[in-house]
Amino acid sequence: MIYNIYIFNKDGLCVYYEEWNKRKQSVNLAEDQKLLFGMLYSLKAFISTSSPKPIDPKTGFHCFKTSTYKLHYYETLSCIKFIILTDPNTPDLREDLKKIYSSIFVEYVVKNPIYQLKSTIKFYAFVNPIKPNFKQKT
Amino acid sequence: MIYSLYILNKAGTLIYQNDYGPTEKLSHNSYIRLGSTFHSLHAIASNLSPVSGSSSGIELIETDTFKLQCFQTHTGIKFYIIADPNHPGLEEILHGIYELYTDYVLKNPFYEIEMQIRCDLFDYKLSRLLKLTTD
Amino acid sequence: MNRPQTNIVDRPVSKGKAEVNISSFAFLFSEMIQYCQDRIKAGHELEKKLSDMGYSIGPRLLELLCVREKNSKRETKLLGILSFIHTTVWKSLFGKTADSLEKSTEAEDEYMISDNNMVVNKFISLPKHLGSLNCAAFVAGIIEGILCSAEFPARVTAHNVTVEGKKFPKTVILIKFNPEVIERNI
Repeated sequence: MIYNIYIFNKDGLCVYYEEWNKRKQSVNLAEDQKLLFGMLYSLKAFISTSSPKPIDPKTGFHCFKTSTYKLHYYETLSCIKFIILTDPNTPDLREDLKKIYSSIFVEYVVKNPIYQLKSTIKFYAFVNPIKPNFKQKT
Repeated sequence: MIYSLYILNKAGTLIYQNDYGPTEKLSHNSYIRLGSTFHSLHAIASNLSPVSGSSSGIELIETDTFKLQCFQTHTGIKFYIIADPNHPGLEEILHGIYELYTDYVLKNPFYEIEMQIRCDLFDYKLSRLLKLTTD
Repeated sequence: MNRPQTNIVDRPVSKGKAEVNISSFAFLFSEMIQYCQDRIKAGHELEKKLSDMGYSIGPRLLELLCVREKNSKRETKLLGILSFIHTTVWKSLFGKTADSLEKSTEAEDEYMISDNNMVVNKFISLPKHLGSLNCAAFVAGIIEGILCSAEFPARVTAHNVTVEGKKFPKTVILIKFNPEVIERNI
Protein backbone atom coordinates (compact mmCIF):
# COMPACT_ATOMS: atom_id res chain seq x y z
CA MET A 1 0.00 0.00 0.00
CA ILE A 2 1.36 3.40 -0.98
CA TYR A 3 0.88 6.37 1.31
CA ASN A 4 2.46 9.31 -0.45
CA ILE A 5 5.10 10.49 -2.88
CA TYR A 6 7.44 13.45 -2.76
CA ILE A 7 9.72 14.91 -5.43
CA PHE A 8 12.36 17.36 -4.29
CA ASN A 9 14.47 19.46 -6.64
CA LYS A 10 18.10 20.07 -5.87
CA ASP A 11 17.36 23.14 -3.74
CA GLY A 12 15.16 21.15 -1.40
CA LEU A 13 11.88 22.50 -2.74
CA CYS A 14 9.10 19.95 -2.88
CA VAL A 15 8.05 20.27 -6.53
CA TYR A 16 5.48 17.54 -6.44
CA TYR A 17 3.48 15.93 -3.64
CA GLU A 18 0.59 13.52 -3.74
CA GLU A 19 -1.02 11.32 -1.14
CA TRP A 20 -3.25 8.28 -1.54
CA ASN A 21 -3.98 6.39 1.60
CA LYS A 22 -2.44 8.66 4.14
CA ARG A 23 -4.19 8.11 7.44
CA LYS A 24 -2.88 11.07 9.32
CA GLN A 25 -3.69 14.63 8.34
CA SER A 26 -0.66 16.87 8.51
CA VAL A 27 -1.00 20.04 10.51
CA ASN A 28 1.42 21.79 8.24
CA LEU A 29 2.32 20.07 5.01
CA ALA A 30 5.11 22.44 4.05
CA GLU A 31 6.78 21.97 7.43
CA ASP A 32 6.59 18.20 7.07
CA GLN A 33 8.21 18.38 3.66
CA LYS A 34 11.03 20.50 4.99
CA LEU A 35 11.51 18.14 7.91
CA LEU A 36 11.70 15.16 5.59
CA PHE A 37 14.22 16.86 3.33
CA GLY A 38 16.39 17.89 6.27
CA MET A 39 16.21 14.46 7.77
CA LEU A 40 17.29 12.79 4.54
CA TYR A 41 20.16 15.20 4.27
CA SER A 42 21.53 14.19 7.68
CA LEU A 43 20.68 10.55 7.08
CA LYS A 44 22.87 10.54 3.98
CA ALA A 45 25.73 12.15 5.88
CA PHE A 46 25.24 9.59 8.64
CA ILE A 47 25.31 6.74 6.14
CA SER A 48 28.49 7.84 4.42
CA THR A 49 30.36 8.11 7.75
CA SER A 50 28.95 4.85 9.12
CA SER A 51 29.63 2.85 5.99
CA PRO A 52 32.41 0.29 6.39
CA LYS A 53 33.35 0.69 2.72
CA PRO A 54 33.33 3.72 0.41
CA ILE A 55 29.78 4.42 -0.66
CA ASP A 56 28.20 6.47 -3.46
CA PRO A 57 26.41 9.34 -1.69
CA LYS A 58 23.68 9.54 -4.36
CA THR A 59 22.75 5.95 -5.03
CA GLY A 60 24.08 4.29 -1.91
CA PHE A 61 20.99 4.73 0.24
CA HIS A 62 18.05 2.45 -0.68
CA CYS A 63 15.37 2.65 1.96
CA PHE A 64 14.57 2.67 5.65
CA LYS A 65 11.81 1.05 7.62
CA THR A 66 9.91 1.67 10.86
CA SER A 67 7.06 -0.31 12.39
CA THR A 68 4.43 1.59 10.35
CA TYR A 69 6.02 2.59 7.06
CA LYS A 70 8.90 2.17 4.66
CA LEU A 71 10.61 5.01 2.81
CA HIS A 72 12.01 4.31 -0.65
CA TYR A 73 14.57 6.66 -2.05
CA TYR A 74 15.91 7.37 -5.51
CA GLU A 75 18.18 10.25 -6.38
CA THR A 76 19.14 11.22 -9.93
CA LEU A 77 22.54 12.48 -10.99
CA SER A 78 21.02 15.96 -11.23
CA CYS A 79 20.11 15.74 -7.51
CA ILE A 80 16.38 15.33 -7.99
CA LYS A 81 15.04 13.15 -5.20
CA PHE A 82 12.10 10.79 -5.59
CA ILE A 83 10.62 9.52 -2.33
CA ILE A 84 7.77 7.14 -1.72
CA LEU A 85 6.30 6.08 1.60
CA THR A 86 4.61 2.69 1.68
CA ASP A 87 3.59 0.12 4.23
CA PRO A 88 6.56 -1.72 5.74
CA ASN A 89 6.11 -4.97 3.80
CA THR A 90 6.38 -3.53 0.29
CA PRO A 91 9.36 -4.80 -1.71
CA ASP A 92 11.95 -2.42 -3.08
CA LEU A 93 10.40 0.27 -5.32
CA ARG A 94 13.53 1.99 -6.57
CA GLU A 95 13.08 0.54 -10.05
CA ASP A 96 9.61 2.08 -10.21
CA LEU A 97 10.94 5.43 -9.05
CA LYS A 98 13.55 5.24 -11.76
CA LYS A 99 10.82 4.55 -14.30
CA ILE A 100 8.82 7.56 -13.12
CA TYR A 101 11.92 9.63 -13.57
CA SER A 102 12.95 8.42 -17.00
CA SER A 103 9.64 7.81 -18.68
CA ILE A 104 7.39 10.38 -17.03
CA PHE A 105 9.41 13.12 -15.38
CA VAL A 106 11.87 13.56 -18.22
CA GLU A 107 9.24 13.21 -20.91
CA TYR A 108 6.50 15.39 -19.52
CA VAL A 109 8.28 17.82 -17.22
CA VAL A 110 11.79 18.38 -18.43
CA LYS A 111 10.76 18.39 -22.09
CA ASN A 112 7.77 20.61 -21.42
CA PRO A 113 8.54 24.14 -22.65
CA ILE A 114 6.07 25.74 -20.25
CA TYR A 115 7.70 24.21 -17.20
CA GLN A 116 9.91 26.64 -15.36
CA LEU A 117 12.73 25.10 -13.45
CA LYS A 118 12.38 25.31 -9.71
CA SER A 119 8.64 25.60 -9.74
CA THR A 120 6.07 23.08 -8.60
CA ILE A 121 4.59 20.68 -11.13
CA LYS A 122 0.92 20.96 -11.88
CA PHE A 123 0.46 19.53 -15.41
CA TYR A 124 -2.11 16.89 -16.07
CA ALA A 125 0.26 15.31 -18.50
CA PHE A 126 2.57 14.49 -15.64
CA VAL A 127 0.08 13.85 -12.89
CA ASN A 128 -2.21 11.59 -14.90
CA PRO A 129 0.33 8.93 -15.91
CA ILE A 130 1.70 8.68 -12.38
CA LYS A 131 -1.61 7.69 -10.87
CA PRO A 132 -2.30 4.49 -12.88
CA ASN A 133 1.31 3.55 -12.37
CA PHE A 134 0.66 3.16 -8.68
CA LYS A 135 -2.96 2.07 -8.89
CA GLN A 136 -1.82 -1.40 -9.79
CA LYS A 137 0.29 -1.53 -6.72
CA THR A 138 -2.25 -0.33 -4.18
CA MET B 1 30.03 -10.13 8.54
CA ILE B 2 29.10 -7.72 11.31
CA TYR B 3 30.99 -4.44 11.22
CA SER B 4 30.01 -2.51 14.33
CA LEU B 5 27.74 -2.36 17.31
CA TYR B 6 26.46 0.80 18.99
CA ILE B 7 24.45 1.14 22.20
CA LEU B 8 22.73 4.44 23.01
CA ASN B 9 21.08 5.32 26.29
CA LYS B 10 17.67 6.93 26.37
CA ALA B 11 19.10 10.43 26.12
CA GLY B 12 20.93 9.44 22.92
CA THR B 13 24.40 9.29 24.44
CA LEU B 14 26.70 6.59 23.17
CA ILE B 15 27.43 4.16 26.01
CA TYR B 16 29.07 1.35 24.04
CA GLN B 17 30.71 1.04 20.64
CA ASN B 18 32.84 -1.63 19.10
CA ASP B 19 34.08 -2.38 15.59
CA TYR B 20 34.52 -5.99 14.53
CA GLY B 21 35.40 -5.87 10.86
CA PRO B 22 38.51 -4.49 9.19
CA THR B 23 36.90 -1.04 9.13
CA GLU B 24 38.72 2.19 9.50
CA LYS B 25 38.71 3.43 13.10
CA LEU B 26 37.25 6.86 13.67
CA SER B 27 38.01 9.21 16.52
CA HIS B 28 36.11 8.72 19.74
CA ASN B 29 34.23 11.99 19.21
CA SER B 30 33.08 10.92 15.75
CA TYR B 31 31.49 7.82 17.22
CA ILE B 32 29.66 9.90 19.79
CA ARG B 33 28.47 12.24 17.04
CA LEU B 34 27.29 9.33 14.89
CA GLY B 35 25.38 7.96 17.86
CA SER B 36 23.54 11.18 18.57
CA THR B 37 22.82 11.72 14.87
CA PHE B 38 21.17 8.34 14.75
CA HIS B 39 19.20 9.18 17.87
CA SER B 40 17.69 12.26 16.20
CA LEU B 41 17.08 10.52 12.87
CA HIS B 42 15.28 7.81 14.78
CA ALA B 43 13.04 10.36 16.51
CA ILE B 44 12.24 12.31 13.32
CA ALA B 45 11.44 9.12 11.41
CA SER B 46 8.85 8.24 14.01
CA ASN B 47 7.36 11.75 13.68
CA LEU B 48 7.11 11.55 9.90
CA SER B 49 4.90 8.49 9.95
CA PRO B 50 2.02 8.80 7.48
CA VAL B 51 -0.13 6.55 9.65
CA SER B 52 -1.99 7.79 12.70
CA GLY B 53 -1.03 6.27 16.00
CA SER B 54 2.50 5.97 17.22
CA SER B 55 5.24 4.61 15.02
CA SER B 56 8.56 3.19 16.05
CA GLY B 57 11.72 4.94 14.93
CA ILE B 58 14.02 3.54 12.25
CA GLU B 59 14.24 -0.23 12.47
CA LEU B 60 16.21 -0.95 9.34
CA ILE B 61 18.29 1.02 6.83
CA GLU B 62 19.39 -0.58 3.58
CA THR B 63 22.23 0.76 1.47
CA ASP B 64 24.66 -0.46 -1.19
CA THR B 65 27.41 -1.36 1.26
CA PHE B 66 25.71 -2.20 4.55
CA LYS B 67 22.50 -2.83 6.42
CA LEU B 68 21.71 -1.18 9.74
CA GLN B 69 19.33 -2.92 12.11
CA CYS B 70 18.11 -1.18 15.26
CA PHE B 71 16.30 -2.47 18.30
CA GLN B 72 14.84 -0.18 20.95
CA THR B 73 13.94 -1.56 24.37
CA HIS B 74 10.94 -0.46 26.41
CA THR B 75 13.28 1.56 28.59
CA GLY B 76 14.45 3.58 25.59
CA ILE B 77 17.86 2.02 25.11
CA LYS B 78 18.81 1.56 21.46
CA PHE B 79 21.04 -1.19 20.13
CA TYR B 80 22.08 -1.03 16.50
CA ILE B 81 24.41 -3.07 14.40
CA ILE B 82 25.94 -2.44 11.02
CA ALA B 83 26.38 -5.55 8.91
CA ASP B 84 26.72 -6.83 5.36
CA PRO B 85 23.69 -6.01 3.18
CA ASN B 86 22.64 -9.65 2.98
CA HIS B 87 23.41 -10.71 6.55
CA PRO B 88 20.55 -12.86 7.87
CA GLY B 89 19.09 -12.96 11.37
CA LEU B 90 20.14 -9.53 12.59
CA GLU B 91 17.05 -9.20 14.78
CA GLU B 92 17.93 -12.39 16.64
CA ILE B 93 21.47 -11.15 17.15
CA LEU B 94 20.19 -7.90 18.63
CA HIS B 95 17.95 -9.82 21.01
CA GLY B 96 20.93 -11.90 22.02
CA ILE B 97 22.93 -8.76 22.68
CA TYR B 98 20.08 -7.31 24.72
CA GLU B 99 20.03 -10.48 26.80
CA LEU B 100 23.76 -10.22 27.45
CA TYR B 101 23.26 -6.57 28.40
CA THR B 102 20.60 -7.40 30.99
CA ASP B 103 22.80 -10.15 32.44
CA TYR B 104 26.34 -8.88 32.40
CA VAL B 105 25.80 -5.14 32.56
CA LEU B 106 22.65 -4.55 34.60
CA LYS B 107 23.43 -7.23 37.16
CA ASN B 108 26.94 -5.94 37.66
CA PRO B 109 27.08 -3.94 40.91
CA PHE B 110 29.90 -1.77 39.58
CA TYR B 111 27.93 -0.53 36.56
CA GLU B 112 26.27 2.84 36.90
CA ILE B 113 23.07 2.94 34.91
CA GLU B 114 23.01 5.17 31.76
CA MET B 115 26.81 5.45 31.84
CA GLN B 116 29.61 4.04 29.68
CA ILE B 117 29.73 0.24 29.67
CA ARG B 118 33.08 -1.13 30.76
CA CYS B 119 32.51 -4.75 31.71
CA ASP B 120 35.02 -7.44 30.76
CA LEU B 121 32.48 -10.23 30.97
CA PHE B 122 30.11 -8.36 28.63
CA ASP B 123 32.90 -7.80 26.09
CA TYR B 124 33.88 -11.43 26.26
CA LYS B 125 30.36 -12.85 25.91
CA LEU B 126 29.64 -10.39 23.10
CA SER B 127 32.67 -11.41 21.08
CA ARG B 128 31.66 -15.03 21.56
CA LEU B 129 28.11 -14.35 20.40
CA LEU B 130 29.25 -12.44 17.32
CA LYS B 131 31.83 -15.05 16.42
CA LEU B 132 29.17 -17.70 16.76
CA THR B 133 26.89 -15.93 14.32
CA THR B 134 29.47 -14.92 11.74
CA ASP B 135 31.04 -18.37 11.34
CA MET C 1 -13.23 -32.87 58.82
CA ASN C 2 -11.02 -33.35 61.79
CA ARG C 3 -7.43 -33.89 60.97
CA PRO C 4 -5.29 -34.75 63.97
CA GLN C 5 -3.27 -31.66 64.73
CA THR C 6 0.41 -32.50 64.84
CA ASN C 7 2.73 -30.22 66.65
CA ILE C 8 5.24 -28.56 64.39
CA VAL C 9 8.15 -29.91 66.44
CA ASP C 10 6.94 -33.47 65.98
CA ARG C 11 7.08 -33.29 62.20
CA PRO C 12 10.31 -34.15 60.42
CA VAL C 13 12.47 -31.22 59.43
CA SER C 14 11.51 -30.18 55.94
CA LYS C 15 14.14 -30.29 53.26
CA GLY C 16 13.24 -26.77 52.24
CA LYS C 17 13.02 -25.43 48.73
CA ALA C 18 16.55 -25.60 47.49
CA GLU C 19 16.68 -23.13 44.61
CA VAL C 20 16.37 -19.41 44.11
CA ASN C 21 16.15 -17.72 40.74
CA ILE C 22 19.64 -16.66 39.68
CA SER C 23 18.46 -13.24 38.51
CA SER C 24 16.71 -12.46 41.79
CA PHE C 25 19.84 -13.41 43.63
CA ALA C 26 22.09 -11.43 41.29
CA PHE C 27 20.02 -8.26 41.71
CA LEU C 28 19.90 -8.64 45.50
CA PHE C 29 23.62 -9.28 45.70
CA SER C 30 24.32 -6.36 43.39
CA GLU C 31 22.29 -4.08 45.65
CA MET C 32 24.15 -5.42 48.70
CA ILE C 33 27.47 -4.52 47.12
CA GLN C 34 26.26 -1.06 46.16
CA TYR C 35 24.94 -0.59 49.69
CA CYS C 36 28.35 -1.49 51.09
CA GLN C 37 30.11 0.70 48.57
CA ASP C 38 28.14 3.74 49.67
CA ARG C 39 29.24 3.20 53.24
CA ILE C 40 32.98 2.75 52.93
CA LYS C 41 35.88 5.16 52.66
CA ALA C 42 38.52 3.09 50.89
CA GLY C 43 38.33 0.26 48.36
CA HIS C 44 39.71 -2.50 50.58
CA GLU C 45 37.02 -1.93 53.19
CA LEU C 46 34.47 -3.34 50.77
CA GLU C 47 35.74 -6.89 51.27
CA LYS C 48 35.57 -6.46 55.03
CA LYS C 49 32.00 -5.16 54.81
CA LEU C 50 30.89 -8.06 52.60
CA SER C 51 32.65 -10.55 54.81
CA ASP C 52 30.85 -9.15 57.86
CA MET C 53 27.52 -9.55 56.10
CA GLY C 54 28.35 -13.18 55.36
CA TYR C 55 29.65 -13.81 58.88
CA SER C 56 26.24 -13.43 60.46
CA ILE C 57 24.82 -16.08 58.12
CA GLY C 58 27.44 -18.68 59.14
CA PRO C 59 26.22 -19.72 62.59
CA ARG C 60 22.60 -19.97 61.42
CA LEU C 61 23.52 -22.05 58.42
CA LEU C 62 25.67 -24.38 60.56
CA GLU C 63 22.80 -24.93 62.97
CA LEU C 64 20.35 -25.65 60.18
CA LEU C 65 22.62 -28.00 58.24
CA CYS C 66 23.57 -29.94 61.37
CA VAL C 67 19.92 -30.58 62.09
CA ARG C 68 18.96 -31.39 58.52
CA GLU C 69 21.93 -33.39 57.31
CA LYS C 70 23.93 -34.63 60.28
CA ASN C 71 21.37 -35.77 62.84
CA SER C 72 22.29 -32.84 65.03
CA LYS C 73 25.86 -34.02 65.39
CA ARG C 74 28.65 -31.51 65.14
CA GLU C 75 31.97 -32.11 63.41
CA THR C 76 34.93 -32.16 65.79
CA LYS C 77 37.76 -33.14 63.43
CA LEU C 78 39.53 -30.55 61.32
CA LEU C 79 39.24 -32.56 58.10
CA GLY C 80 35.68 -33.45 58.97
CA ILE C 81 34.58 -29.84 59.15
CA LEU C 82 36.52 -28.95 56.00
CA SER C 83 34.88 -31.63 53.91
CA PHE C 84 31.53 -30.71 55.48
CA ILE C 85 32.05 -27.21 54.09
CA HIS C 86 33.35 -28.45 50.77
CA THR C 87 30.37 -30.72 50.13
CA THR C 88 27.36 -30.14 52.37
CA VAL C 89 27.61 -26.39 52.82
CA TRP C 90 28.50 -25.81 49.16
CA LYS C 91 25.63 -28.01 48.03
CA SER C 92 23.12 -26.18 50.13
CA LEU C 93 24.43 -22.78 49.05
CA PHE C 94 25.22 -23.38 45.37
CA GLY C 95 23.66 -26.72 44.49
CA LYS C 96 26.99 -28.43 43.77
CA THR C 97 30.18 -29.29 45.60
CA ALA C 98 33.23 -27.04 45.39
CA ASP C 99 35.77 -27.89 42.69
CA SER C 100 38.63 -28.73 45.01
CA LEU C 101 39.83 -28.76 48.61
CA GLU C 102 43.58 -28.57 49.13
CA LYS C 103 46.07 -28.13 51.89
CA SER C 104 48.51 -25.34 51.32
CA THR C 105 52.06 -26.44 50.51
CA GLU C 106 53.52 -23.37 52.13
CA ALA C 107 51.84 -23.20 55.51
CA GLU C 108 50.65 -25.88 57.90
CA ASP C 109 47.60 -23.97 58.99
CA GLU C 110 46.21 -23.01 55.56
CA TYR C 111 43.60 -24.77 53.46
CA MET C 112 42.13 -23.75 50.14
CA ILE C 113 38.73 -24.37 48.60
CA SER C 114 38.52 -23.38 44.97
CA ASP C 115 35.60 -22.85 42.65
CA ASN C 116 35.95 -22.19 38.93
CA ASN C 117 32.56 -20.58 38.45
CA MET C 118 31.55 -18.83 41.63
CA VAL C 119 27.81 -18.20 41.40
CA VAL C 120 28.06 -14.87 43.24
CA ASN C 121 30.55 -13.61 40.65
CA LYS C 122 28.63 -14.83 37.62
CA PHE C 123 27.60 -11.37 36.38
CA ILE C 124 30.28 -9.24 38.00
CA SER C 125 33.02 -7.48 36.03
CA LEU C 126 35.46 -5.61 38.22
CA PRO C 127 36.51 -2.09 37.34
CA LYS C 128 40.25 -1.61 36.81
CA HIS C 129 40.95 0.14 40.10
CA LEU C 130 39.40 -2.72 42.08
CA GLY C 131 41.25 -5.47 40.22
CA SER C 132 42.17 -7.57 43.25
CA LEU C 133 38.75 -7.47 44.86
CA ASN C 134 36.71 -10.63 44.89
CA CYS C 135 33.06 -10.34 45.79
CA ALA C 136 33.15 -13.91 47.05
CA ALA C 137 34.41 -12.23 50.22
CA PHE C 138 30.75 -12.62 51.16
CA VAL C 139 31.05 -16.42 50.85
CA ALA C 140 34.34 -16.30 52.75
CA GLY C 141 32.45 -14.50 55.51
CA ILE C 142 29.86 -17.28 55.64
CA ILE C 143 32.60 -19.90 55.92
CA GLU C 144 34.31 -17.93 58.63
CA GLY C 145 31.04 -17.69 60.52
CA ILE C 146 30.55 -21.45 60.28
CA LEU C 147 34.10 -22.27 61.38
CA CYS C 148 34.11 -19.86 64.29
CA SER C 149 30.78 -21.04 65.64
CA ALA C 150 31.89 -24.67 65.24
CA GLU C 151 34.87 -23.84 67.49
CA PHE C 152 37.44 -23.85 64.72
CA PRO C 153 38.39 -20.16 64.80
CA ALA C 154 40.00 -19.09 61.54
CA ARG C 155 40.53 -16.18 59.12
CA VAL C 156 38.85 -16.79 55.79
CA THR C 157 39.51 -14.67 52.70
CA ALA C 158 38.62 -14.85 48.99
CA HIS C 159 41.20 -14.43 46.23
CA ASN C 160 41.37 -14.29 42.45
CA VAL C 161 43.75 -16.84 40.96
CA THR C 162 44.51 -16.84 37.25
CA VAL C 163 44.32 -20.20 35.58
CA GLU C 164 46.40 -20.87 32.50
CA GLY C 165 44.37 -20.94 29.32
CA LYS C 166 41.37 -19.32 30.96
CA LYS C 167 40.40 -15.71 30.38
CA PHE C 168 38.86 -15.17 33.79
CA PRO C 169 40.41 -16.08 37.17
CA LYS C 170 38.95 -18.70 39.48
CA THR C 171 38.00 -18.00 43.06
CA VAL C 172 40.03 -19.49 45.89
CA ILE C 173 38.74 -19.35 49.45
CA LEU C 174 41.75 -19.35 51.75
CA ILE C 175 41.22 -20.64 55.28
CA LYS C 176 43.89 -19.85 57.85
CA PHE C 177 43.22 -21.57 61.19
CA ASN C 178 44.22 -20.09 64.52
CA PRO C 179 47.26 -21.84 66.11
CA GLU C 180 45.24 -23.55 68.84
CA VAL C 181 43.16 -25.41 66.28
CA ILE C 182 46.24 -26.89 64.62
CA GLU C 183 47.79 -27.79 67.97
CA ARG C 184 44.64 -29.51 69.12
CA ASN C 185 44.51 -31.52 65.91
CA ILE C 186 48.02 -32.98 66.07
